[in-house]
Amino acid sequence: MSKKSGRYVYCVADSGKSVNFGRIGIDKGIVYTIPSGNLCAVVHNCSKPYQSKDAEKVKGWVRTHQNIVDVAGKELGTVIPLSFDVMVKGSNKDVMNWLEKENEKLMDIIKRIKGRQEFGVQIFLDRKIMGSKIAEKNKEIQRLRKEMEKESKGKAYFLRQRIERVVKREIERGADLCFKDFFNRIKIVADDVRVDKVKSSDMLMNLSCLVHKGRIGELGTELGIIDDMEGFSVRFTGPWPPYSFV
Amino acid sequence: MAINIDEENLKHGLLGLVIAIVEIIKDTLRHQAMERIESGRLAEEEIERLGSAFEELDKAIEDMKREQGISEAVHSVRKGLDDVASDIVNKLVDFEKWKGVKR
Amino acid sequence: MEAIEPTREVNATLVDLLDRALDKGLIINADIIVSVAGVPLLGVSLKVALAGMETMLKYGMMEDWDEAYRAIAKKECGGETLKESGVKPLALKAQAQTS
Repeated sequence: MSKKSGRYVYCVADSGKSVNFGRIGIDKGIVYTIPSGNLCAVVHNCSKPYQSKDAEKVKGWVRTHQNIVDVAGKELGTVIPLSFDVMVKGSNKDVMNWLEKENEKLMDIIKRIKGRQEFGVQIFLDRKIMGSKIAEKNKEIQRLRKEMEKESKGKAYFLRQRIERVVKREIERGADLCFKDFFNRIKIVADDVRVDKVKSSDMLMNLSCLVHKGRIGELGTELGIIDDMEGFSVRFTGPWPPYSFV
Repeated sequence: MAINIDEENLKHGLLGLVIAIVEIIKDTLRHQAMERIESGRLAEEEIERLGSAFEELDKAIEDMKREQGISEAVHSVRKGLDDVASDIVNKLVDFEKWKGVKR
Repeated sequence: MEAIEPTREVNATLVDLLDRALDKGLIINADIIVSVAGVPLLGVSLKVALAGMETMLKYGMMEDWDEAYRAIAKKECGGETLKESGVKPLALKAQAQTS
């Protein structure tokens, strides 16, 4: 049997408490804290990293990881979450040494995130709707349409192509303006915002926001306004531990 | 950066690939034609002929895609190529620039 | 007009969780830290965590932590990661070179 020569680290907490959370860890590991001064690491003993070809199994592990971070947060206060599957090779002493060595850096992070939570904000744009609105109002398009009616078949074809191009260009310009506008409005309410990659072609922006607990309502209100706009919809997830801001 | 083609039916997949390429070439030719028209280098009858030709080509390709049931395959090949291009752009574009947006 | 409430419904937000827990979170550069995270996410692809049991088995015993980890680390550093800072792969590289 392999000896448990490592410590799976879930998060680092702003607390020097010694707590045993019981068998709530991945693979039923016993989760407990290793304190060092005013901080502690939330860990369970393990011997090797968790790997599997079974996607469902891994998803379960990640959910467990997140669950522990949540539980630790409720019990210990501010927590700095680690990625899934990070381990310290060694004993409790090694973890304590690491905490001591990094104490200043960790305290800085805690100061930044204390009292705040991370939220995911995804704003979707239906380009077809924006396209039709543009086609109705844009003067250049109206002019081209009138021209098209008079023209012969072959020429009309190219005019139609031109109209499509103009529409596309105007959609992108409009989307760009909206991106900047929404970003600015959100930046006012949030302490920090990170721009992530969009996940689908109808997604205009994918943000992670660090928001003070007292201002979550304000963010919700701002997003409600955007969601109400024609052609736009908002997906608001969270609160998450501040993965994106540590 | 994989391009996903229907691997179960190779012929289907190959046809999808071929038509995707045909569409891309057609788009490029059309783009060039439009540039020439805008710069006034084509005569009226030439524009008329080209326009009709492209319109028929468009229709022929749409008909073929429908009859062969490869619209999805063609779309996914073109999307795959788009993703490759986006990937490259994303690696070059600095998303951090959005942080500098003024209040 | 109503304000929107954030959701954390487990099934609806699985991808959001994976995006965060697999590719973000605290990074500490230290010789004793080993991580197999830093996963390039393609939809719900969990590439690294799903990586070869074969790699582990190839190096014989499951208890052989060092060998197995180094093999995984080398493989991942050679591959692609989305990690913008690039710190994790470098940490693993440094580790693979110094150990």
